[in-house]
Amino acid sequence: MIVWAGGAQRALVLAAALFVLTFLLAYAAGTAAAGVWMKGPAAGEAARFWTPARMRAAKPLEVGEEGGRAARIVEGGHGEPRRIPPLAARPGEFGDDFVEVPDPTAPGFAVHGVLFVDLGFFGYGRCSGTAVRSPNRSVVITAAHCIHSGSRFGRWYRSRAAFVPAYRFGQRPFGIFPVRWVDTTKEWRDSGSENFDVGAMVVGRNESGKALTEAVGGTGIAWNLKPQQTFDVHGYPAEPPFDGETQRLCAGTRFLGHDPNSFIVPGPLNLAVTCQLNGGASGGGWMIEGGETLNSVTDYGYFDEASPAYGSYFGKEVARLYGRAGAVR
Amino acid sequence: MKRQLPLLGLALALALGPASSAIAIASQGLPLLPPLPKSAVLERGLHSTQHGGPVRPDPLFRSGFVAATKGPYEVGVSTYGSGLYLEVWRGGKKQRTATTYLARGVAQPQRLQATFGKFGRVSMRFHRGRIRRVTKHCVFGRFLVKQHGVFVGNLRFRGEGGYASVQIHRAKGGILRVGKRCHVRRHRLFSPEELEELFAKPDAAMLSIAREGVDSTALLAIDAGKRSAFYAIDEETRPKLAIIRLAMARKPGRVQINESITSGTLAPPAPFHGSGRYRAFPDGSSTWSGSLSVNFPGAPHFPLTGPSFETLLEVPF
Repeated sequence: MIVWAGGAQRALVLAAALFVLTFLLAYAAGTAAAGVWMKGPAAGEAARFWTPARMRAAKPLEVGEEGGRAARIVEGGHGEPRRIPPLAARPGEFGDDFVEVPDPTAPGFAVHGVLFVDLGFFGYGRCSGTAVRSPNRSVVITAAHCIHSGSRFGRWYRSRAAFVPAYRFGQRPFGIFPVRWVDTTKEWRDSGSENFDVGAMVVGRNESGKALTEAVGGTGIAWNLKPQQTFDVHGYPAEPPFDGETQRLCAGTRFLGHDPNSFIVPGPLNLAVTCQLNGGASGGGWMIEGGETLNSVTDYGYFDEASPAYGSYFGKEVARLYGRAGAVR
Repeated sequence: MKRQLPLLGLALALALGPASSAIAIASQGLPLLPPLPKSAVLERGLHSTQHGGPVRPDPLFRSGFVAATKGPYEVGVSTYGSGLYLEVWRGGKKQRTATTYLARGVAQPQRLQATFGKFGRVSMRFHRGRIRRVTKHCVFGRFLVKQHGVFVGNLRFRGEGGYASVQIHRAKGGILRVGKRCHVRRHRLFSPEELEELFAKPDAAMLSIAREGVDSTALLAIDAGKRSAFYAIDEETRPKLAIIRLAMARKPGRVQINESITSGTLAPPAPFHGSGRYRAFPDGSSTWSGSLSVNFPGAPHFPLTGPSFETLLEVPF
């Protein structure tokens, strides 16, 4: 039985309730606001830091062994197909597979670029990424392992991160876009499962004050489609025989099947295509519908030369990630 | 792009992993085999060239059973991570062939449910019975706790060409979980001599891989005297099913590689048949030819040589 002795106790109870309420609200806000904000430099400062020499010195970002030890059962998968149409113009007809893009500033190619990250003692890292149409005009989709090492014990790669669309031989034809916010699929952060290896970034304005999709356009994005698609795989491979200085394209490469390893880790089965890209091409966009719509990103491959490239299936988890990134102001 | 281990990883995990195969479930979940000798070729096969291996599910639990069959094959069903696999095998620790059908479905400790394409389906539930029976074994510093019981439901399977078939409604099985830490003081896992042998370099090793799309075949040979081992692994993926075939011989065979690593001959023991010959030419090209083949369950006379194979050889300096 509670005996109210006076105003002091009432005030104490009220204060405790207020504290609990404040804590609950803060917790709810914290869990809703996924993603990580970055103390990134302004575009001018990023441009000064990311000199051509530093950009050339950047090594492909890969996931570590520790990145995926704690996989657990996570529901993943399909739902209603959904598309966001592109802002970018269609790329023209292109030649054979596995070729260098002669002019990455051309419509349809300028949306693809390189993500650079300062890894401190470990040097500089790099990946590929794609500018996607979004309400804030600043979303880049890449591979999750380019921004977070995976699993509950993973860490973010976020120091001086910047996106350079249409990068070519140290040039930045559309300027440099410092990264302001990063996030991955929740399942990648929880389990490190390869089947959820998709990340998103929100970038700031470039040196001339333009937002990303104002400068280069933005592709559409689609999810929950059937895997049997024909993909144009873009990326900046940086390991021999490539040098990471040019955009590469495997045009019109068809869905081959799933990796058997994909069956044993959580999430929708990944996609395989014939495209011999290597380190640095991670996060590169897999475009469908004539290069208009993003539907996967490069994830991994095996060491033998004939290995296909594998990319994550875009399901409802990617839709949620895209929604979170597009809502960032 | 991350570079990962080739197909050897999953297949060897299924074959060698301390808590992986249906046999492991049947035999209290103990490791089947001692580890392979250290070899650069094997390292290349098992690990990525850059940054470690792929994601593996936590061995939080394994659940499954072995079904009684009339033919020469045994059939087991078990969980592995998010997947559920049906394994058909014959042979033992020294010599074994197996075909594993891996599918997504319900892979829970108490419930196994999946469709293996045209080969069949499983839908079984675990019942622990009136008397609760649990066994514990200390393996590598952790208790493996097995809860015994019966799976009840329906298993229907018919392999390619009917090489094995089974239809049951009830099978003894168990749920294997990793328990608390434990210490075994009375027994040492390996004697000093055995440890020295474990870390000894092999006399010769070979890894040969052929890939077509997502399907691939690998042949691994390690010549290390009594600890010699030969594996053939074939993986193929269908829209909702992966099929992994494995042949293994852990006894001495013939592996001859010359010092300049320009030619070699491989003649593994049964279940392999025939021999393969490697030749490297001054222009950098090489050939891997011969009559070497193996009878996988459901895929007899499977060729293990041909122009599509990419071969790596290893001999000590």
